[in-house]
Amino acid sequence: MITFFRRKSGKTSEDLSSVSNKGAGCNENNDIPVGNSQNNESLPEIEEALEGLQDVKSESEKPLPLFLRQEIANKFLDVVFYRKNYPDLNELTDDELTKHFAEHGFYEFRDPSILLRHSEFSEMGCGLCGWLVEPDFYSLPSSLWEIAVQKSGLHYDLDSLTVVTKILNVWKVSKVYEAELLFLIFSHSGEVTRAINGNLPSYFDWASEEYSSDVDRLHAWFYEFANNGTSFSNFFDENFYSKKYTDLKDVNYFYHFLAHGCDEGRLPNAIFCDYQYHGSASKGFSGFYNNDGLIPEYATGVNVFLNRVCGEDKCYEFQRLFGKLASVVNGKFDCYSDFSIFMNLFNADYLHASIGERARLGFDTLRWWFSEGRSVPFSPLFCRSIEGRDVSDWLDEFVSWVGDSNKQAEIPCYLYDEEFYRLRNIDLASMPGSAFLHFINHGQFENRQAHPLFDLAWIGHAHNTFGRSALDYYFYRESVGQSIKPAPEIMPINGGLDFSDEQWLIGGIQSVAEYFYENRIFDLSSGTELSRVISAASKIDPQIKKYDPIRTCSVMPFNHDAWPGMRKLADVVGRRDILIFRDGINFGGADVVLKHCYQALSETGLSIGVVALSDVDYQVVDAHGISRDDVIDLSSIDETNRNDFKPHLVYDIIIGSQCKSIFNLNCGAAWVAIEDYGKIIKKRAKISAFMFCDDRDVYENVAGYPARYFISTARHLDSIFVDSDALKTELLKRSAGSNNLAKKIHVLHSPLINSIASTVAYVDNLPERRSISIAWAGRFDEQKCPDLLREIAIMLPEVKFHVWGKAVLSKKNYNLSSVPNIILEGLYSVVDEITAKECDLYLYTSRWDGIPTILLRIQEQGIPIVASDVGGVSEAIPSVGLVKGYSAGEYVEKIRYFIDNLSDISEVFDAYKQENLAERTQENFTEIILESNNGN
Amino acid sequence: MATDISVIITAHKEGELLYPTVRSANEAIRKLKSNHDLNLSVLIYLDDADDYTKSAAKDVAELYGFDILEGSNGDPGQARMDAIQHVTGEYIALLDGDDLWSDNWLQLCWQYILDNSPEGKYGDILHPEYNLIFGAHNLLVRQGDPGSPFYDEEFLRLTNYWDALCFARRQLFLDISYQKNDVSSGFAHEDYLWMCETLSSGVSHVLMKDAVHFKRRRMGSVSQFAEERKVKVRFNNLSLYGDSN
Repeated sequence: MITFFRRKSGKTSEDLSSVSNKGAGCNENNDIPVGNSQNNESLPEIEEALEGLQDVKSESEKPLPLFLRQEIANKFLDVVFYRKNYPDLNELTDDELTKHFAEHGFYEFRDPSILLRHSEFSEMGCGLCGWLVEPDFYSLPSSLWEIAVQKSGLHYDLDSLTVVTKILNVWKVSKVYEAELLFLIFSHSGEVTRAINGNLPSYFDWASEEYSSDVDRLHAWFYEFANNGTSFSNFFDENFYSKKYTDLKDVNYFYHFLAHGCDEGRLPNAIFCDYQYHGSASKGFSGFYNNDGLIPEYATGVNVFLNRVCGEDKCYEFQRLFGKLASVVNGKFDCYSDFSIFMNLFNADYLHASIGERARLGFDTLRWWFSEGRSVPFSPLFCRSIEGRDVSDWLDEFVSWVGDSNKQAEIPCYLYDEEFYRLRNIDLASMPGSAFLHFINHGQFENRQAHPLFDLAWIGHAHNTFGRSALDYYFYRESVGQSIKPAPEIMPINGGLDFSDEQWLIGGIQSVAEYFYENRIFDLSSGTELSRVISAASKIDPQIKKYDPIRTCSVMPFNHDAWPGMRKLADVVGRRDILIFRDGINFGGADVVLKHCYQALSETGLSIGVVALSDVDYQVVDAHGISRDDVIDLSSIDETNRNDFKPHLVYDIIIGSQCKSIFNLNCGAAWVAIEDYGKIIKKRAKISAFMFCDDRDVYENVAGYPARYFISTARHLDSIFVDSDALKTELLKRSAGSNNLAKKIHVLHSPLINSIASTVAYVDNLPERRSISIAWAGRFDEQKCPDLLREIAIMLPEVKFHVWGKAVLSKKNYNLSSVPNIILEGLYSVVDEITAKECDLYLYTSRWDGIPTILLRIQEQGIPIVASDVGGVSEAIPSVGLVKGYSAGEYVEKIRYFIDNLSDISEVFDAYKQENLAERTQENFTEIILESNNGN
Repeated sequence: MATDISVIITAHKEGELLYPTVRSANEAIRKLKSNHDLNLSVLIYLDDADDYTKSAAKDVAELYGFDILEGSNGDPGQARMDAIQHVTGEYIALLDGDDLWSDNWLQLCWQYILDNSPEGKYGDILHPEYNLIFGAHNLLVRQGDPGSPFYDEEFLRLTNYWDALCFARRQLFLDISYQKNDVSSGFAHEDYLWMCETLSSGVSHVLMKDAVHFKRRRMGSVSQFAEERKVKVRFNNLSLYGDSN
């Protein structure tokens, strides 16, 4: 990095460029340039000169002695990855690659392995070098740390870096990525790891009292794992793998599977089916993972299946076993509950002959089930058949019952309706005997419907079942707690029903079907009263069809998907006097306004509910002084998660809670509710709403809540709070200067939180000899223009940019970490962290905004600001800091002007703050909110 | 001789669709009378009806000996109430002018009354077990069953459990009347409100096993339905969380 020294003041832009043009050479202070391959020849000498510089604060600037780089290359370099990733090195041998990385690649920011990325470490602010030199000082980068630990569902705080280091020390593997890969798998789920080698004790079973810490325990476990690592069972079948994949020669098959095979879609054993495996995300085993970590849907299935087969875990909900079997075991083991048991046993001989291992697995599982003394609810009909009898061998009894019931053509399962099946499938109408066998052997795979409430054809059309039958898919989803609708007019049956009977949590559709069977509901069999009256009505009006194969059946209250969520609201919300609606609660500017609004309304002494319709960051809630008891977190109610329900939920909450006032603080569903039901809501509650700024869509059209809802909801709103004069002017323009609306619009200035520091004092206190640095903080989203920041940073290579933030809305990679003079600082907790960097100025590049709360915080700190002249920004900083255009060149020009004239500019800032920001107090904010709410 | 049951068929712009409606009502009456010696009256109530509907009503009234009464309420609940005011039956059986009853409907209702002798001033409100929606839609739906383990009164915060068609004591309608819809203020679904209010008053709702209400869904109903999304049932005790008192 090229280091640039700043004079106190008065330096011209020409001076800046002249210093910059010194290029990669050493400056007068003997600071060492790194990160430029042109200087590699002088490195050994430089390294010698470096001794004693260990107190350099920026880890990214810390150079490494050659011997250490060689050590790193030996230990961490994945030559296969390195060669493949850098085609210019294609011709080099392994040894040459190691030498290259140590001597060149390290400083050229080339990644040594797929898991050790310079960019990841750079975003942590330490760089790969810093991490490698002082690994204990830094946590793992996001790629490892977040995925491996934070997202894994493990709740203890492992020092994962130490763990990996220890794994390296104890594991007899030559490559660090192999250890890391296993660590990742371990971190995702101990159960998976245990299943990988069922002969080994689980980490979680490891006697904790023998070790003083998790790290030590894991260390010992891995040692055991490593020493026995060639013996696998249950999950990885080396014999199968070696025979199936004959392209592999002279490799450790297990390592190959972990390192490559799983990503290549290779199967680890004969029973790991395509559905779970390839279907997970069409990416094989790695499909179980995404950027957010393990995909729970698939992880649960695999873990539980494996553990169940191993017979180790006795704690899991037993009912789910058959769902797992249905999903995981290939071939004919496709069904669930009554279906699967009946079918499997009926076809046992055939199955055993053709797919012996799978049949054995099914029988073993059944035996295990019965050995546990379990019965209901896997087959309630069977249990009824043995009621009151002493059964010595459940399995034999079951097999016998299955045979008998088939001979007698009795109902084998509540979800199979013989007459309905025949009626729906006219080709089976004259089939002799029971059509159940047809369903078992063919119908279920053809997604034929066999029950009025269970429409397999519809399920098959509504979902990607990954080539499996709709029946299998339905019960698979149910078994992992993600129920789907069994028919178009029926809600997901176990989706949130809170009845005390546990069986509702699993097998919900069977329970409903059982009730219907017992009470002859939807009994359309010939000769029933229901079929008779329909037939009679069809004679009066032929539009009423006696039997209609496309007629849908439904039943209240299961006919409404919103019901499970709705029924929970009463308990979650209760009675409230005031409700504030937010989409979610996180670290954004609107949440700062939420803090002020909550504080203002708390003055009333009335009960407040902050309704969040999506995720809530409780750290923000705490930081903003909002009582958690007042947060109504609808994201915790799964069934409320459908966007089309949300406006109804908002309405229900307003009416149900009997609140007297509502405040919409950037909540989309609340806007829809006000638009649709505002005239009704008004009869019960005063309606206020905040509007901050216009947004832009991808086509640069004006978008956002003010654009969408101002005109359509204005008549219902008692008060409209805007944060800038600019937005009020804009809204009045849109309403033709309406006096009616002008009375409703209140400019509500966000309060300052801290006392205002002097910009003059801030600038005077900056260290005298240091490099120029600029602070930038915000979301890495389109609105905040991180791409513009990047461009500016590239144009000012001599300036260091400290950048705080993360992407919230955008999926775009702005590649900020690739710019050498951008230092990604993560998220800041308090604005003091920005001040502590002693930057010369704060840069704000947003393309549209109201009055950004961050600018108020920066003004409080006394840092000079260069900002885009958009929205209400001109109401927060003096005009000297405004940039009118959108080009990087204009920003660079303004920045250089600021640096050259910082003393004068700081005085302008102080004068501005004195004159314009003093009235921004919580008291004034509270007064306006309460007055407008009382006055209307 | 006192009238036991007054059948009320409300019509508006149904035109010839009234024919199958009347015929289904007649079948249900015939079946009831074949088992019980009862005095029944039938009133076709025409609310702001068009000429086709008036003509059809006159036609079938003459054929079957039904009464006709015209009103101009422009509101389904008020039309029913006006009709109820003009009849004298102890029990009221409602039917919309384009829907059909199953032939067992009245028989099942009367048998229920005989078997259960519902107590209290109002007795119970009886509903057919199923609605079979036909025409532009095709759905067989089982209505809310207070006797089933799945019944949940909180469902009524979300939507109605029962169609307006029902069988109940006339005195109940007189004491707890249908309220006029006020769509411009965002309130509609007078039958939904009536169900909530009767429930809140302690009146029981009961399903008649295997009785079917055939509901005709006509083209255009879909857009009408979309528009109805923006109206809600009036506030009532069941709209509120927890103790409403």
